[in-house]
Amino acid sequence: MSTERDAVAYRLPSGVTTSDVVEACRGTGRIEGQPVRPTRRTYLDSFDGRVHRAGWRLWEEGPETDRRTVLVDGATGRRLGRLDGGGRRFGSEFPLGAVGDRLRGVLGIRALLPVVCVQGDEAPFDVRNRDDKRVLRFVFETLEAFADGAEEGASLGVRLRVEPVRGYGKALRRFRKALGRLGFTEPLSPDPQDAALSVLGRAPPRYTSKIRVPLARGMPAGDAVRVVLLHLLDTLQTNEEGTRADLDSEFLHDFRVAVRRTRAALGQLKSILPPGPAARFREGFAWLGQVTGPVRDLDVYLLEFPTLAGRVTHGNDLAPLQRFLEGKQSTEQRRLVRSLETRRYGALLVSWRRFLETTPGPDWPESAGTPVERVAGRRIWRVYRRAVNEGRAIGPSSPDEALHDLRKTCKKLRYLLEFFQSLYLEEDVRELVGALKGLQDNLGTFNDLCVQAETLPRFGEEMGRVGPVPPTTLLAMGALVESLRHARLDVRAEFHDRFATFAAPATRNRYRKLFEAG
Amino acid sequence: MKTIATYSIKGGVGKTATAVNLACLAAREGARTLVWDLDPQGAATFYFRIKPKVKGGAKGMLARNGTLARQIRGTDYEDLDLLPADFSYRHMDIVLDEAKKPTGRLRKILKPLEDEYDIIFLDCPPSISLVSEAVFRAADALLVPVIPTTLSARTLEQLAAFRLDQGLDDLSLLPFFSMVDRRKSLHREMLETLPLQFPEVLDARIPYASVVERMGVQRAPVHAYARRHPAAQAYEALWAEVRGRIG
Repeated sequence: MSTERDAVAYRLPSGVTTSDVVEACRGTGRIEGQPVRPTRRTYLDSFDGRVHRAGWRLWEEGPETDRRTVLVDGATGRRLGRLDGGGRRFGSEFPLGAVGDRLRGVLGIRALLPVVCVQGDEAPFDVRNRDDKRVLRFVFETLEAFADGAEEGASLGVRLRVEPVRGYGKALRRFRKALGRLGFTEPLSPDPQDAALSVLGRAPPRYTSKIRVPLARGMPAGDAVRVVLLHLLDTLQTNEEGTRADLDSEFLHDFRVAVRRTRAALGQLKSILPPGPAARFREGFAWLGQVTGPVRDLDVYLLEFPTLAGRVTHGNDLAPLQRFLEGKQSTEQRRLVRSLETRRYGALLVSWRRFLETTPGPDWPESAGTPVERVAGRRIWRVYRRAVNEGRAIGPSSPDEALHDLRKTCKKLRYLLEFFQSLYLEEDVRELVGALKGLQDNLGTFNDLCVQAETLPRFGEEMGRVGPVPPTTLLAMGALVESLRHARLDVRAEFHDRFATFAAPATRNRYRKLFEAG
Repeated sequence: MKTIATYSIKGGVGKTATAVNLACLAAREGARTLVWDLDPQGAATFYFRIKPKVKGGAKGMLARNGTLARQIRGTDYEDLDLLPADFSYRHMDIVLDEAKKPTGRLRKILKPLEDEYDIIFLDCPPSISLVSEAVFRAADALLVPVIPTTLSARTLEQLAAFRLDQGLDDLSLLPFFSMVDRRKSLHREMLETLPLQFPEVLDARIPYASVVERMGVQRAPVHAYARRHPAAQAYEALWAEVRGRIG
C-alpha cells in the first residue's frame, strides 16, 4: 500500500492522451515541462531470482562512460542505493554500502545475470508552487521491453509515473483527484521490471533446486519414478547453459546434484525398472558424473580458499597454489564443455527423455505396477536400517573408508526421502531430514577434510612439475595439511554423538511407523 | 548515518552556505541526505524555497515520538531533503531545558532516521547555548567556518577547550577557512599561522565570492547555477576532505 511518499505508475486509460493529463492538473500549480530524456536500463538478478524474491529491483543504466547501478524497493519504487559504475556480477565485487551489503546478504555465490532490458523515453513535468518550488513531478514513460540480446522489443504502452515530493501531500492529493476524473484507476508498481517481463510473456526468475514432485498414493511405482526422473532431467537441462558458460559455480553444482539423484534413483529402484535400459543409463550417468567431477572439486577448493588460507599463519604464501588451482579449473572447465558437446552427451539426454516419456511396456518388471508408497516405504526403511548398521559398526579404530561408505548410504537415504516426500506429511519428513542432515554434515565435512589432505600433496607435485614452487608456499601447504589432519580428528570425534541422534530409538520408531509397512 | 553540524559562535561566517552546498554535493554522490535548519532565521529553508513552518513548532519536533519525521520536505534535488526552520526555534533552548536529559535530546530524536538517511547536516544558529550543546552531542563532526582573523583564533581555542571539558572525544572538530579574501594581508597571515596553532584546520578554503552571496537571490545551492565557478569547486574540495575525515 503506497504512502504519500512513494512513486506510483499508471497505464493511461484508453482515449486519454498525455495532453489531457497535463490540462487536467493545471489547478495543482504551475506546470513546467522538462526535456525528454532517453532511458535504458538492464535489470539484473541471480538465476534463481534472489533479488526479486527479496522484494528489490536492481538495474544498470547509462552509457558506458557513465554507468550507474541502482537498487530500489520493488513495491514502493523507493531507492535503496545507487553506485557509480557497472559490470559487477558477484556480491563480493560490490563496495560496502546500501547496495553492496544488501546484495551480499542474498546472493551468496550466485552471479547476477541480465533479466530484461527496458528502453525508451521519459517526458517529465514539474508542478511548481508560488515560490517556484517543485511540489510534484509526473513523468510519461514510453518504454519497450527487450529480452537480453534481442533486436525486437515489446511495448509497455505509455505509462504515467507520479513522483510525490516529500511533505507536499496536498499537491499530490489534488493531482490524484484530477487523475480520478480522467478515469485513472489502479496504480501499478512504479518499477517496470515486472511489467516488462509480463509483456514478453515471462515470469520473474523463480528457479529452485528443491525437489517438488507431487506424487499420489496408489500411483504405480513405475509412473512415479518416471515423474521424479523427468523432474531431475528438467533441472539438469535448466542448468546446462550456465554450466557451459561457467556463470557461477551453482550451475554445475545443481547439474551434478541432478545427476547424483538420478543415479541414486536408478540404483535404489532397480527392482521396478527394466534391467537393460536401467543398466545402460546408469553407465551413462556415471560417465556424466565423472566428466563433471574435476571442475566441481576445483570450484569447491577455490570457494573454500579463504577458509583454508585462514588455517595457516602465512595464508598469503598460498597465493601460488590459488593461481595454480584457478588455472587448473579453467583447463578442466574447457574439457567439461567439450564433453557436453559430444554426441554421447546429446544422445544420452535424448534417449533418456524418450525412455521416461514412454508408458512402461512389457520389458518393465511387474513390480512397476506396485503402488508407489509400498515401494518407497520398503526402500527407505531398508536403507535406513543399513545406515544404522553401518554406523554402529564404526568405532574409534575403524578406517576412514567406513565413514565414507556411510556418507554414501546417507545420501541415498536423503534422496529417497526427497523423492517421495509428497507421499507423507510435510512435518514428518522435515523432522527426519533434519536428524539426517546433522549426521550428513559431519560426514561431509570429514570427507572434505580427507580429500583436501590427500590432494594437497598431489597439487604440490603437479605445481613442481610446471616450475619451481616457492619454499614458503610448500611450507604453508605443509602446515595446511597438518592443520587439516587435526581438524579431521576433531570432526571424527563428533561423529559418535551425531550418529547417536540419528540412530536413537525415537528416530528409529518414526522411520518404522512411516515406512516399514510401505 | 553520519551527522555533521555547521557551527560557529559568530554569525555571517558562511555556516548556512556551507551546509547547503555540501549537502547538495553529498546528495549528488548518491548519499541520502537531510539538512535540518535549526536557525530561526531560516536561511537554509529560504535557499531551498521551502516555507519556514513546522507543525507543532519546536516543541512538537523535540518531543519523544514527536512530529519530526512528518515535517521533512523534499527539496528540488534528488536524495536531498530538508527539515525546515520555524520561528518557534528561537525558544528551542527553553523547550530543551524542559526535557529530561536536554543535551541528549537531539541525538535521540534523530536516531530513528538512521535507516532513511546516510548523512544529516545540522545548520546551527550562531550562539553558544543549550541547543549548541545538544548539537555537539548529536553530531559526529563539527564543521566550523573560520574567517582568517585574530578573533577567530580565540574562538577556536574556546571551542577546543569546551570540547575537551565536556569529554566529547568522539566529536571531530573540523575548522576551515571561509570567506577568504586574499587581498587582505591579515587574511594571508592568518592562513599561514592559524594552522600551526590548530593542525586540524582543513586544507580546503572557501573564498569570499559574490556568487555565493547570490544564493539568496537564486534560491538554490551554488552548484545549481554556477557549477564551474572557483567557489563551487572550493566547496567540492571541502566536501572531499570532510568526507575523508568522517569515514
